[in-house]
Amino acid sequence: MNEHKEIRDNEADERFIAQAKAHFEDSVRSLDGATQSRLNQARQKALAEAATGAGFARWNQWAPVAGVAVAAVFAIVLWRGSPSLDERMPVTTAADFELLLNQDDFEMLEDFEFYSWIDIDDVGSNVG
Amino acid sequence: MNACVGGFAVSCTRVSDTGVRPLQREEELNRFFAGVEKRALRIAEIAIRDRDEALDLVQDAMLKLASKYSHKDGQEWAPLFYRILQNAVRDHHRRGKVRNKVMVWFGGAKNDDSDYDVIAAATDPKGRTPEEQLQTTEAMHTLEKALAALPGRQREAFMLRALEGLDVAGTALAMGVSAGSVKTHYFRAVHSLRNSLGEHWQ
Repeated sequence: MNEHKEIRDNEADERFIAQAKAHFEDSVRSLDGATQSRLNQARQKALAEAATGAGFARWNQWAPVAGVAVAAVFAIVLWRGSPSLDERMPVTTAADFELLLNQDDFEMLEDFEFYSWIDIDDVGSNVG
Repeated sequence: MNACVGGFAVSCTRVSDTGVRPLQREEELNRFFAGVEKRALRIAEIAIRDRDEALDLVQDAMLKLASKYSHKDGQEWAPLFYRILQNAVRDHHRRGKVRNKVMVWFGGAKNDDSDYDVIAAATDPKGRTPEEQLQTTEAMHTLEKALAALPGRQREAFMLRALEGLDVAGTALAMGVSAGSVKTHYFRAVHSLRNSLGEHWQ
């Protein structure tokens, strides 16, 4: 008994859905010309966007080539060896720090004009 | 792969990473939009009760699909397109709620359905008289009102499954829910609509 009711309900559901679909399709077919024209314009605009995207996709086809080129450059750099520690780091030995921290040097900076004058004078005397 | 033939630049096309030439893809996209746009417009219109705004939402969905997902397999376009559209519809409803709250605050809330006439919006290119149009669209008008009264998810499930004809998996992708959830929403929607429209609706 319940099975029969379930089948009847299902059939009624199917009829209802088919009816709803038919009314919906009728309303779709009844769309006016102005609306259809606007839809057409919207579609053309979207396709123009897609064409731009395709152009980008074509440009992207060079990506593997670019990748190989970058990998080749990287391999060459590795093969030739990375720059040594001496090349990359400025010389900061203990003597340099001592020079920087020496109190006398600060005093020298205070009399910078005087020492500068002596330096120029020395150069001048050497020339003379 | 290069599909260029000799020096004929016009026939020179390249195959994209999806294995489909851009021109071929554009034609497929054109056919897809042409096939789906009218139903998509009506579905958006039923959901938001405004044809102009529905047109804007459909256009935005087309733009988004074309610019972001045109490289996807053509079989995926319909659920993706409707997912974009449904998200736009939900955003529209959210904005409407906020707008209504603001309007209530200033004492002038507007009912979106108040000045929307489905029959007037559905002009007939077949040249039927207004009376005939009234008869043929009355059932749809009643259905639209019943759909508007449904919870959002049930309405989406019914429109995508019954009206647009997506399968359960496609509807699930479009709605962003599981297949089981689609079946539940759809079942409830069908029975709610049948109850509210009555046995004599046809």
